[in-house]
Amino acid sequence: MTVDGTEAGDEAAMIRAGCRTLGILLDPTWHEAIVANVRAIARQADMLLDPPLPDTIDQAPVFAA
Amino acid sequence: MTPWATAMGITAAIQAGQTTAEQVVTDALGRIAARNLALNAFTDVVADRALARARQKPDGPLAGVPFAVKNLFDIAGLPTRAGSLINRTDPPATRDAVLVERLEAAGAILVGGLNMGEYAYDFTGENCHDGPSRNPHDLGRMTGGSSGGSGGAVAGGLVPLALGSDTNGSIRVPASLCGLFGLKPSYGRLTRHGTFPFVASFDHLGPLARCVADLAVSYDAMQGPAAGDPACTGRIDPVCASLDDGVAGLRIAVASGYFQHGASAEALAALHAVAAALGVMREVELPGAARARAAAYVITASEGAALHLERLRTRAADFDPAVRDRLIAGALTPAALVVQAQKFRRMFQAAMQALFETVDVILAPATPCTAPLLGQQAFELAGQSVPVRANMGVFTQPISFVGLPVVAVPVAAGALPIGVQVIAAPWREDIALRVARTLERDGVCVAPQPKG
Repeated sequence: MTVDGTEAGDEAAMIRAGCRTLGILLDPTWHEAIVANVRAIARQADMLLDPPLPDTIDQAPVFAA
Repeated sequence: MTPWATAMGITAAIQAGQTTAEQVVTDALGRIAARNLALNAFTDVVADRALARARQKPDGPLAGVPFAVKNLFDIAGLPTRAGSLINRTDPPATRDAVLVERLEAAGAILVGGLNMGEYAYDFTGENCHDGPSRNPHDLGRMTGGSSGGSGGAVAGGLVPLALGSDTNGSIRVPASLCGLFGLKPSYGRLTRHGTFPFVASFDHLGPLARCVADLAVSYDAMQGPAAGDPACTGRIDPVCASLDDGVAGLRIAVASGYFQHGASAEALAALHAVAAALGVMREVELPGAARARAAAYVITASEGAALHLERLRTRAADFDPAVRDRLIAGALTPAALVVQAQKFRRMFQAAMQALFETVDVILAPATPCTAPLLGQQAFELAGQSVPVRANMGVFTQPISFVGLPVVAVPVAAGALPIGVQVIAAPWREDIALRVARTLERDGVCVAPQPKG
């Protein structure tokens, strides 16, 4: 069990499933580094998600008709 | 001419009949041949093309000036490698990137393509396929990236002018670590047509040089809309005429809080030196800067992965492992998180717009520290050991996140230089350049020559 309560296996399963969906063939030797990067994104997510954003905010525009 | 001649100095000397474009280019090619092995700044040299062009005696505000471009810019006849192994087998570009065309139309002469971090997902300037760019101030240290070769080529006296790209800091970081002036314009100011992308939401292009006038003249030559580039503005706002207008009347403040947290003593000293020279007493907080950086991180990971998805599916083993593993993690980022990041981008933009009602210029460190050693994996930031590759841009990311124009200005910091960001409101590159020019003229910000 990791510090935040997730099982280390949860991340491995998520990575395998996600890569399967995307058609990315994983080499097992890449796994540790990918986990480290997934966790780095998760740390950014912690900062991004709190406090919650108002419902009324639109995304920054990518497309303009 | 001396290797340290500026672009404006070269043009003046040619126009005065003291030298010729052919001699200038011949000398630049000689310096590249002599020093590129040590600096590893250039990946491609287009000597025949450059000399042929020089013999035509091109005219214009950059007449005879040799320049080079990060190798994600299209150069006709070469595959656009973008620092990668994979792109090397692409067909050669049929046309130069539009910014290359515009600089040549202004009389400048392209001499080659420059080393970069693979696919621009990098702050170090190290490339596992082409080798690391080396910092001219200490060959055992990084140039910073991802426009590492751009920083090394100009700081090392190979060429006076180079173009780079900046998604989260890739012009400003090498400008800082190599002791150069670098301009990241407003998002959408300079056309990206004919360049290999990274994150369409954040990609900017711009010049690096050893003096502010060179930035300004090259920037003015490159402005203007481009067919087939909907992200590029139609507005043209020349800056050269106002470059020496000084800073009287400008409201200037130092960014506090996030932008000083974790900065090294050298970074803070440089920031305070610039502030003192400008007589700045005021500090401002950029509300949500840490969150802006987090959002930029998430969008970069996700959009970068989307761009490279097919390459990850078919040639994952051919990537730089450090880039590949970040991209794969990015591909797995939940879409809802990316949407949140884009929503916050709108909020942060509005907050910055409001802040720029009360201030004209904001000063902030460009990098948290001076150039790390080549191969260094981690550095200390706010008491924590963090990866160099992902964190050298902590102070640049929140700014490019909302496309603000920035001039990175060099400050001598003991043995190694370090940069400060001069940040202005959208479309006010003129103000940022005026401040940079004042600092340069007053001797506070000067691009140092490498010792030895």
